[in-house]
Amino acid sequence: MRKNTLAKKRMGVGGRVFEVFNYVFLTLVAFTTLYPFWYVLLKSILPFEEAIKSKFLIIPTGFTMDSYKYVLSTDRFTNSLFVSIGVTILGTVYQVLITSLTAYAFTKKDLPGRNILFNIIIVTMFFGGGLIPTYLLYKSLGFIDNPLVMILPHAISTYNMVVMKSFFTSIPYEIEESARIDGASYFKIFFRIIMPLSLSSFATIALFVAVSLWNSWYGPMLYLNDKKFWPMALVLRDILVKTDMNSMQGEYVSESMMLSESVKMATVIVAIVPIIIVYPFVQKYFVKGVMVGAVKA
Amino acid sequence: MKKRITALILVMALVFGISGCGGTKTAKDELTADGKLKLSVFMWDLDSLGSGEDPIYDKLSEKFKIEFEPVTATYAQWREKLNLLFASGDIPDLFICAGTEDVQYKKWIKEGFLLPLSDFITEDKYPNLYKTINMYNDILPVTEGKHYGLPIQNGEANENGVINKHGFWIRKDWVEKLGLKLPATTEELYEVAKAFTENDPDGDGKKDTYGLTSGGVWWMYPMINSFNTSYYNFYKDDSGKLMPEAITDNMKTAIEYLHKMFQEGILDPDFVVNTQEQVYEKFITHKVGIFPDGMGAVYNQIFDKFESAYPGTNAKDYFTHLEILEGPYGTRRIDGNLAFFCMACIRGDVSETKRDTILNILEYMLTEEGCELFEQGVEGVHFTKENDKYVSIIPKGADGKEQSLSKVSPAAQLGNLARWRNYQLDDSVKNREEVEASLVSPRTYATLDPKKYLQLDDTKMPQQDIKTLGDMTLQAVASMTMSKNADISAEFEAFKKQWLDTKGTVFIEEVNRVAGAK
Repeated sequence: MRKNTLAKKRMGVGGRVFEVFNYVFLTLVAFTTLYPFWYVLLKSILPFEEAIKSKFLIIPTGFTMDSYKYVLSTDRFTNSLFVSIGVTILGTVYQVLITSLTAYAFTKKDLPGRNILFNIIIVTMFFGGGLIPTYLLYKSLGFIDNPLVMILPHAISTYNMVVMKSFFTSIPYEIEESARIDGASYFKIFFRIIMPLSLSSFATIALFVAVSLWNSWYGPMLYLNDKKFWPMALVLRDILVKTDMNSMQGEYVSESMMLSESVKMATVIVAIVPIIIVYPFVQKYFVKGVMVGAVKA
Repeated sequence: MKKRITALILVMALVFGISGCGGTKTAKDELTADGKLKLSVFMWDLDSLGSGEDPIYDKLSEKFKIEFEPVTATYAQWREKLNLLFASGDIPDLFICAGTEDVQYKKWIKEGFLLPLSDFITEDKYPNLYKTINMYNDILPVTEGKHYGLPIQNGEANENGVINKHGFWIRKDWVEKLGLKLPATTEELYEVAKAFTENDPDGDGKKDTYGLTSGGVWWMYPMINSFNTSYYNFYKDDSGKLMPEAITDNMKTAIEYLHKMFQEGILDPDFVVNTQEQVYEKFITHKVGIFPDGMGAVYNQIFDKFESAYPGTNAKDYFTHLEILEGPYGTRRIDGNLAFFCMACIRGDVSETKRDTILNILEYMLTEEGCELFEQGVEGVHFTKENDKYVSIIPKGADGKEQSLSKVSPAAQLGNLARWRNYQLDDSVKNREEVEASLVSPRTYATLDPKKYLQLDDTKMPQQDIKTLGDMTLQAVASMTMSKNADISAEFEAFKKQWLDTKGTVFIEEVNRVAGAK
């Protein structure tokens, strides 16, 4: 506190002007970033006659939960929400587990074929099979119209694996060695020693994976024909990204095209609330883990 | 050594990968445990079929001894998914596609992926299908005299087989308040729109209204058409040559009209960037008096919005439709299409049994009985008849609103493979008189672009280049409309030159080559 006061005293006029400018600029940036979210939230709770006026809204001019009642009462939305929650939880646990185990294995210098296997996995970061071979592969594995397609094929994220490997390498080898001397197996070492010491990296990676799975819509659109398996992101996209039905002259009108702006905004809020709820719990790990894998001097 | 091993592994992976790429799998007939034929069907937005209580599905399944395997995508991504299915050889037995307007369609025919329908549809066996596939023989292209797609009927066409369902909506209450009459010509519309802008029609004491707006510059096309011109169409000149309307003097006159409205503050300055939803908002919240949009079923969408915004008032009193406007050249016109949207196609290598079953189903969908099943449902379950009128008995949803037939019985959507059904045009739909009245004028004056269904050579004039010219025209119209110059002649000449230089000349040559050959 005393240091800050002294620092401020030493600051000249230029410094103070810069500080004022900084605060103003950052406030504007924060407002610009947060206002669209606030606007969506307000539009979702306003009655129709207020919502359509599209004014610059700061304080709501009305309140109704009708849009949320509609969203949460329809099978389609609630079903997709449960699908998304299930896929995100299971997929995150699955992917983080497999990725971290793989990363740990690659920290063992005496692993036979380590470099070759590592290079093969790295190649997949730059080259892919393409959409059609992937579709054919999934079809031959029975993944078409199977909700497991949203989880099982995504066992390892190569980038995350490399990041975790770097983190595990930074853990002193002596800790592991002493556990080995005491007779612990590799699995025991991993779950009892490595994992607790790497919580920040696990939380960070888990958050990235969870957000990615939550927002994933393209794969489900390609591989899932049964709408009861569609995740929330795909249902939301179907509602929000519509081709102008009238411009097609086909007058194709789906139920989702008939929804009001308030209902669409309520759908958006329902879709992002779970992630917002989870984030504060992992934030402390996220802040620690954001530099995970960074090169240390 | 390690590098060689890595390289060897990569080469082996490549070899295995290439060997995994196979050709199209020949379709095999699969039967269910109770002997029903499995049929894969592709359409966008197809809900789960047969997984719950669905009397329409049960009836269809029993009648034709089939079980459907739906393949679907969102409306925004259906083309991508269909292309993927074709590329991976996983072609559905029966599917919807964009038809002759799609470059892929021609490729699929060449590669034998589509069944030549006209080889199997005979008048005695499939009279309705026969009538449908031959409906546009003079216009729709055929490959070696054969039809590969069933045009899916889309409402009532005019005597030329052309349809359009767009027009203008206008604030009827403002017209009455200001002592005006509904405009029938572009000149009258200008005067009415000007009055809307200057004479405070909403009575709030502020000059905060615009006469005219739209949801983007494309939506101004009905206005452009009133000047006997268009963004994309061609016309026959005196020598019989097909020429583009985008660079004619009529187009210049049309743009000058919009430009004048823009400069005088009559045209909403956001007309280029508005979304359709924003346009509705402005119309309902007394910000704008006239806008172009779909007709027909859209009436009830706007009606519902007025009703929700101003409960206790009669929403009908606020707005009405305009007849197609007569332009300064004495013409009334709006660009339309042939009265079908998309085509239903059958996989080229289906077995005889499957082929006949699918054709029987499609034929049934076009019969009176089939139309009733897919458009009204099952009597006693979905509707009853009172004085020969269909009355829906579908219970309301959890939100208290009417439910569509396809919502309670997803198999009803399958009827869209033969004929489009818009449930909002049911007997039981509200405001039916207004809904139907709004469709009359655009149907009457719908015209067809003479080059629309010409099969141009993709190597000479790729689809992308045609799209580029279209986008260029839209951009130029927007730009000239909003120009600060009083006279846009120089800008129009520059646009004309740019259009011709950007493969426009090639486009004209190719269109005339194909039209001449036809």
